[in-house]
Amino acid sequence: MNKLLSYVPATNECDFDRIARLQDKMYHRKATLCRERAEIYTEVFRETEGESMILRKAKAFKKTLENMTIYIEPDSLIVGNQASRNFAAPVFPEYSIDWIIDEMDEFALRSGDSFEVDEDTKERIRKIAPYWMGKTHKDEVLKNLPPVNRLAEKQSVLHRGGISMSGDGHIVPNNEYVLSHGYGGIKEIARRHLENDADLSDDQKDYYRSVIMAMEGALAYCKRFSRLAYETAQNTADEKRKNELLKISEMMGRLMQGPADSFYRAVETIYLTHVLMMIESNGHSFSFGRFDQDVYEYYKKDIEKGVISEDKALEIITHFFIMSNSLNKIRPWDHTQYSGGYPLYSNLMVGGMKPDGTDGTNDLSYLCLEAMALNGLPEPNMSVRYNENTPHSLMKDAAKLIARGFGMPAIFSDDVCIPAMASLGLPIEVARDYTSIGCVETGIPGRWGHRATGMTYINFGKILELVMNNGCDPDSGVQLIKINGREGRDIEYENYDELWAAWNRLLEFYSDLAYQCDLVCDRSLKVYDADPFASSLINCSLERGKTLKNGGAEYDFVSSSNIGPSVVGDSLAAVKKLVFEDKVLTLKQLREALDSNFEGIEGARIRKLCRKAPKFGNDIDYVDEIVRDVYESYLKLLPKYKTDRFGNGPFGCGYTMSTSNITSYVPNGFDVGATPDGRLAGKPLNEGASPCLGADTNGPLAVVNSVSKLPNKRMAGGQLLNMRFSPGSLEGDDNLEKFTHFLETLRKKNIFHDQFNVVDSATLRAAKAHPEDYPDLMVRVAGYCALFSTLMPEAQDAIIARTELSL
Amino acid sequence: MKGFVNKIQHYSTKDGPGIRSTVFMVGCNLRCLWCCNPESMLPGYKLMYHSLKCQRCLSCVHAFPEAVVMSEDGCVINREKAGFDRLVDICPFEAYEKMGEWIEASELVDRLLRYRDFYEGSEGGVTFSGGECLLQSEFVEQCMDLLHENGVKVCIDTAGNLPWDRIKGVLGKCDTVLFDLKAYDDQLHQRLTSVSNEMILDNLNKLDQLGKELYVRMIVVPGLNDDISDLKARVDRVRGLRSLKQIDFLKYHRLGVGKYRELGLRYPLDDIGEVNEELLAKIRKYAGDIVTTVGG
Repeated sequence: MNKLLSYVPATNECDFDRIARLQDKMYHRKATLCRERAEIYTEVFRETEGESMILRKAKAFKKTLENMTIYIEPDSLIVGNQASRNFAAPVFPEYSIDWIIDEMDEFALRSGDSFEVDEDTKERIRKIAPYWMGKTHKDEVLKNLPPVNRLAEKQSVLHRGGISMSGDGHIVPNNEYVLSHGYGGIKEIARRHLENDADLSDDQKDYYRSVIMAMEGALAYCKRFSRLAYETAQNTADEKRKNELLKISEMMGRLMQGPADSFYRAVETIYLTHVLMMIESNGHSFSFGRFDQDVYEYYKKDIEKGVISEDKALEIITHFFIMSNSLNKIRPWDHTQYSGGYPLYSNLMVGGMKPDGTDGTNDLSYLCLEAMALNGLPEPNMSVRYNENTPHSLMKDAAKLIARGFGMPAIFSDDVCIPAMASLGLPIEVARDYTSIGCVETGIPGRWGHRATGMTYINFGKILELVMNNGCDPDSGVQLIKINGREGRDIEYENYDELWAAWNRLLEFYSDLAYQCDLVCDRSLKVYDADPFASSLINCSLERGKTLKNGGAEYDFVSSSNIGPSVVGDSLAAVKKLVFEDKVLTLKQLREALDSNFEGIEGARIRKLCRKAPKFGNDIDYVDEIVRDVYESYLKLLPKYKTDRFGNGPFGCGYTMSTSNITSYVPNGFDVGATPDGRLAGKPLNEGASPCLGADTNGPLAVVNSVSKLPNKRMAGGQLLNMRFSPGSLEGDDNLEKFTHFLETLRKKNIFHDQFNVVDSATLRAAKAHPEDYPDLMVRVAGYCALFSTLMPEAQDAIIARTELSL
Repeated sequence: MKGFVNKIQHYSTKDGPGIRSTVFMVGCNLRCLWCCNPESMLPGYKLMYHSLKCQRCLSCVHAFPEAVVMSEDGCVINREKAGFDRLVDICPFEAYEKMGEWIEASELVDRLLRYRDFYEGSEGGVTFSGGECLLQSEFVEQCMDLLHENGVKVCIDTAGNLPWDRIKGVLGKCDTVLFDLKAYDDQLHQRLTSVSNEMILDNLNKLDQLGKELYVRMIVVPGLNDDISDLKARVDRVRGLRSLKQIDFLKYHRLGVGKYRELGLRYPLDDIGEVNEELLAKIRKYAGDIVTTVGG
């Protein structure tokens, strides 16, 4: 069993053996598919031809909640299931189903994120598929995608993100609002709008009707659990468990008809709301937000009244955390490569500044870290916010948890993130309330309704390769821009300015295309991702009578995901230094070496020069400034892009920048030939804002200094830094204390976010060879954690190749 | 002035309090059999040959037929006859690495000050180590003055085998001293390090008068200096020192073996096994009230 960090239980109310059993169940969870939702949605859609999409979806949502299989985990205090079995992924045919049919027999054979699907399920899903052909969100996107975008995809510059074939997700409900109104209260608000508001459009009427139906479904779902818990209690011999089940039955019988009135109910509600959103839509990154802030009042009251002990609270939180690993999502293989390890990115944030500027750390912040230590599983994706008033003891506990080596928590510095959010034009008290949503992207809980990151992926490494090849992709032969006006790959640059101009020109061209792709996806999501349940939990949606994708959110900012800025910066620096300044190479020699993937003695000689050129991550201004220029070259393009919701309600509707690019740096690297920084063809690009794999040779402080020079205070979409430390460097209190100081200093060093793997290379290699011996080895992948054994081999190699910072 | 430095390691956690940068100076006047930093111990530039990177392309053999020959295990180099820079330059696969750098004090300090924020928060700073950093005491003192001007604390890691007059100035200025005591018995000390410990023990007393924060480091090498009586004698020797903060027992390790091979040197010790943990527990108990740690 996992040990606690600092907390010492005062009673035996937290049953650690039971936690260990629940946890063990999750370590050995088997991913499968569940057909129930798909079948019910198909049935409802058949019956509702001609009605508006939002009504059809609401009806199907309600019917699913009334009829799907429900179960109660034998050991759990927290109830609510997404599909008929633990870790089964529901199917969402209205978004896309063609790939499920195509890949059905491959799911079990995948090298990462495999799914076992039984023959009956296969057959029944195949049976409903024909109904959906040509009617899905994906069909709509493909119909509207400009041909030039397809060519850019063929060049591997652009990758359509998950939102081109699934829902969006990335929603942190306004938990305070949900807890104080209940689903019943929200239904009532929708009903009043529908009955009393004058001049409602048909769309608005449908919206309110849908919210009412969604909430009715949610309440019915709660009631079903009440009955099930009661029946289970009748057949339970163990007195303690029987009483718990009766308590669950009582709680679920009236849960969310009105305000929550206890800590336990508040936690159950937050979990259940999460599950319901993940039945409504197959987006991901539905997040819990600032849990310790949202629930603290309930906790305090219960503790003061003696309703609950701290130990019991710890048990409830731990069960909540463990149960969030029972949910699942299936993605097509090409998207799985971008996000290996079954991630749901259910973020949960503790600590940080309150809107009034004081520090919000409370007892729950500590308990959450303890619960995470007990949990030891990939979800929730936990982060800690900190500022100059954050207690050292909280950071020390965070350091202790990091030292456990399972990659959490990530840390977010208020000193950088708040200015970044404010740079979008948010009032300071709003900016101070930020939380992480998804990977490392940030948003404001209850006010945000769109993914900050990963709408469309832009492969910066590939654009660089095109710059070196006159815009012509060596792999596909596709040439959309001729830099020198001539066809073919030959290109000569006289000086660095010309090279830099070519980079800017291509970057703008492809960014414009990525933006077009976002628009196509967004316009389709407006229809197909109509989510009355989730939308109504976000500020302004109910007032406006609009779903989020239709302009229902208070704030609206998105970003593409940019992959490989460090590879680009290192490469430009190498060309600048070797070709234009030191003149030890001609551009022609370099291009030939790249073409041959640095083959032969001559290739090796050139590669050596390339590798010796300054590299980002070593605190060398020469190259750090070029990497910064790369960021600036993208940031300056953003003001011209507006989302589809512009002028339609939300504040902003603009773009920001982010490097939270999940595992995409691995498959994106497959597509990019050798680069002037000395990287070989097909090798990974750099992860997030981290240095290129193995390029940082001067230790962690130099990495921090390099990253500190980037425009992090304008990276409102999230700036990802991932570091790997050797376990020995965090062993013992003295080292932990030093590491805690290291964390605390990052704030002053303009570091937006940092996350850590604490595991040695030998262990990782052994785990790759013998996954069965390491079922619980969890690693930081990018902005999230995954069990190492679930990753595909290339992603495992990329993690092994990260520089192990040994002290 | 310039100093001759092997490397600078940032985020050092084993060389004094807090987060530190350690400057490894080149050159030492001891020859400890277990030394794990031969590239810092011996004077002058070093040439390392990384046989795993070597692709056996023979570029170096063709350039220096009189100095390099190819064997089954890779290149065998006569370092007297080979030009280091040229070898590094000629190898396409980065198998050769030249170590050692002359750095101006002001430049070294500029590099270190980039990490000041980390030192301040953790009450760390810069450690001068080696080799024997006090062989370049004037350089160290110059760096230290500049660091102090910028509010950075400085720690000296020394074996203490230099005339007191030559080192008292720099030791008087520093903030913390890590002082090695490798054996108490002088005969043993001479056998293991090739020098007598007479001056070292004498300097230790004088150092104590300066009132600096003092860490005494005692290496424990199986079969060489791990006799309990010598360890006890070492502990007793420092027990009364008024500026003693703690004793760090350093366990012998073989992490330096690969470096000897890459430098073309013979590793002086056979495989002598692991340090006896019971022995460590015993000696720590013997130390009584003194704060002790065990490191590598």
